[in-house]
Amino acid sequence: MAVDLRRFDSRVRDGDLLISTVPAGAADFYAERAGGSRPGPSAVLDVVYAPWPTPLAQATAKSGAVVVSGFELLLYQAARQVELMTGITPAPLDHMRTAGQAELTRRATLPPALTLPPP
Amino acid sequence: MASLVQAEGGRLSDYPKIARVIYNRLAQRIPLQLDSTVLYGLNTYGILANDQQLKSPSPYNTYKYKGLTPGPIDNPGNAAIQAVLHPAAGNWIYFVTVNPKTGETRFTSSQAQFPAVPAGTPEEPGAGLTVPTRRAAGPRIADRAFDVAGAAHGRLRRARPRRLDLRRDRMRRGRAARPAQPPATLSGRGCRWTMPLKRAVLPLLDRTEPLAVEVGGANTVVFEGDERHGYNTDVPGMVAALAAAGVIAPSSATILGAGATACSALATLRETGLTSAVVLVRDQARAGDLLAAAAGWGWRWTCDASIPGSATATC
Repeated sequence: MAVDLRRFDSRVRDGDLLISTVPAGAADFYAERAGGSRPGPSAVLDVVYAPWPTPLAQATAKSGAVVVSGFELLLYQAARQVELMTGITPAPLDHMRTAGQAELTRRATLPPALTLPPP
Repeated sequence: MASLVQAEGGRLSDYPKIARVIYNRLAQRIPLQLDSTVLYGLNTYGILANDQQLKSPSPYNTYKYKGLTPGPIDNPGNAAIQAVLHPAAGNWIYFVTVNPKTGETRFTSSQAQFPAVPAGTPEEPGAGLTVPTRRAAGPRIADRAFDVAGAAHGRLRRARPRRLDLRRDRMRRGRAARPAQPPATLSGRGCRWTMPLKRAVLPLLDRTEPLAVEVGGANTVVFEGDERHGYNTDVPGMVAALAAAGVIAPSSATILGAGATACSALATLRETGLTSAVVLVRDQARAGDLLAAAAGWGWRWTCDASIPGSATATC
């Protein structure tokens, strides 16, 4: 079993599955790449959940990849937490999804930045 | 709970006492009544919540709901975490800052024990009687109380630091007549951590599942009796999210980034049966944890000598 460490801008061929673990914006260069003629990944997980879709998600979805958002990751890892903390199995995933999406929508409509009151 | 201690702030030496006040309130089923939680629930900042804010329906409103908040309201530092793990001994359920300049804070078990009213201050009629469980005044709250009310305003005003012109009116309306609290639906069965705390918490755990050790972080801690058990739900979460989208057995994989989440991604690939992965990194100096995790599973690794930072790593 092996890990092959390469430069971020390396021209290495994409894997079947691409997982982006970097913050919003850091994978944008990869999105440009994904729009090229090379065969792209068939599945993408981008751990970013807002703003969504990311340029990477858009570009890879356009070339036919199954795209999984960071929100799904957030949701499923939270489900496991609910199960561990409450013993309720399975966790109420649909309710959690609805609540999570409502929160993301709410945040998306907030003013861009919160300012602290003067000291 | 550590996030509450952090948000209430004050002197570091008071943190274990603040933690004790929260524990005591939970044990006695007294609402925590921390303005910091109310304001957090409204996605705003400030020192005092106003009357309207105190009535907000947010689950983070600890005036309205008993028990802990559904999630953290601040990013606790080590002192706050240690304070929660090792609270001071005491029967206090209130705290109030008596000297805003030094941050000196007194902890008491009853409203009546709040610092003595300065000599010559007229007592407001009925003051001490209607206030009791109104608030656990945090240091910053009390600082504000001093600013607003001035030092001449005695025990009531320290306990209920509000705009003075409203106070008498509120007293007459009486808090005691408020409707009964809803049942406590929020309780403290565990806590969640993000980096770097999910790594920092590892030495504090009584039991840690192997996966959390391997990926170098327990993002979930569950209290079992007196014990703290650590778990990692990032990896099963990632496996489940992929499986739900039909991604079960990829033939090859690329990971962007080499931080903590990349460790989870690598563990996820391992779960899907993959035996190799390409990892694209910006700076190899940051890939240490990832490589340690890989080495722990007996994975070989190779790297491109032109990666920035590779001179500092064993490439």
